[in-house]
Amino acid sequence: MNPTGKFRRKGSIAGRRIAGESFLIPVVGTPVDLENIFVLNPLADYIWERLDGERTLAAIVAEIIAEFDVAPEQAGADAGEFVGQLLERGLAEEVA
Amino acid sequence: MNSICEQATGGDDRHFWRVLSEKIAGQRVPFSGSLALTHRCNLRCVHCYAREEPGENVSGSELNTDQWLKIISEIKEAGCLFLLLTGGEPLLRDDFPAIYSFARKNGFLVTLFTNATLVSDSILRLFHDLPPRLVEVSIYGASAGIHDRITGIPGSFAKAMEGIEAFQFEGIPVRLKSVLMTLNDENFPAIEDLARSRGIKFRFDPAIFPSLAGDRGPLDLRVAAKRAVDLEMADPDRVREWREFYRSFRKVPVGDGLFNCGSGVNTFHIDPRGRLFPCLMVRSAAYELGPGRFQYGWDRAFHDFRKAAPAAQSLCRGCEKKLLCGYCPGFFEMENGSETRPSEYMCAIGQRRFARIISKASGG
Repeated sequence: MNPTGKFRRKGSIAGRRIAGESFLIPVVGTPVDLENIFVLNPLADYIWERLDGERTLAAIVAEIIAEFDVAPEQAGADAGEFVGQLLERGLAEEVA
Repeated sequence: MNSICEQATGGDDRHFWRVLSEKIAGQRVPFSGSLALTHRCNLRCVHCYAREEPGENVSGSELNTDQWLKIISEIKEAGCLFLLLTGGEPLLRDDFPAIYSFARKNGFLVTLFTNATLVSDSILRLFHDLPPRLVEVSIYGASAGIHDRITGIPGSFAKAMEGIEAFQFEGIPVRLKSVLMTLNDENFPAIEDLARSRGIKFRFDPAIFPSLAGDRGPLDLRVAAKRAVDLEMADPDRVREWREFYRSFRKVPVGDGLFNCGSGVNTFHIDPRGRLFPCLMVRSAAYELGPGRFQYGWDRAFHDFRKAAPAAQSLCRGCEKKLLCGYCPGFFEMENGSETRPSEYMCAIGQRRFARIISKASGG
């Protein structure tokens, strides 16, 4: 994953917080199936909120390191994996 | 790293519900709500509980678009996920597309109750772009003769069938539902066949209750409990579903409270005027959302109504058939003026269902 890349959430998915838990809900496309709802852990939720198309992945990782008790290598790996999952599922896109 | 982002289900709805239940266990979270966008309707169904009364200025008292959008924003913040848009006929509102798209774009899982007679091309495009979770269409007969007699509007059956076909053509999930009454009980097998022939799931309810304005006339349309349950249990799948439901939940402790449902704990209802209720049936606690905010109403206005309910007076206390009768203190209040005095009709329904399930269970 390119650390200087900028990524943003797609409008095809809505992030929802319910009782302190975060979910991603499909908005467009095929009829809403509960199978297509994703649950985010706190770190994923933190990253999701920062995929605004302005911050680089490296900047997000720096924020994670400042906020969470996590080693820099682990933070980079976690963020890269999560963003990779979002790209693969079409839930986020890289800004050119 | 494992499961930074996991799919909420393992392939079926029950898994999702388990995940969600674990998240909200012990919390009072309004994750499921219904919005009656209007009580106006283009049909005049004989049994309708929400119909406007003669001389009542229904449209004049409805919330406007901005007020509904404000409420939807507030219930989103409060944690609502499942949203039912109902009426009256919701598609009568010119601003339905604005309200619906706002809800969908904000991540609500929307179900629509409609009579399917007002399905325009623009509605189909809207649902194609922003699909609902489910559209439920009310059908009261398998032919125009019976359906139109109940709705009071000639041509409504043909229109509804067109609407249903259009939904199906667009790949929008549709389910049919009906109310069993003396005007259509003979026709019921045909209604079920109609749904089956179109590959549509079907459900029905024999529970007719007085109108919200207090008219008890619709109660005369109830089918005798034995007949109603015999029709219900004529379908072996339904017998199995009832039996599985009873076996799954009969050992689950329900507590000593008058209410054993999610009313006011996980559910709410908002009427066209913006009055917040714990659910559609319970009218004893209300909060005006016009000037107020949802969270305040949810937190303060009726969070104690269940504690105040006089459970000890309930004649249903300890009844093992409460799972089967459609037990609902709100229903009892509407029918008998008391949340603790059960509906004799629904009690008879529960007794009959219990007998049918037990006899089937002992045979299988």
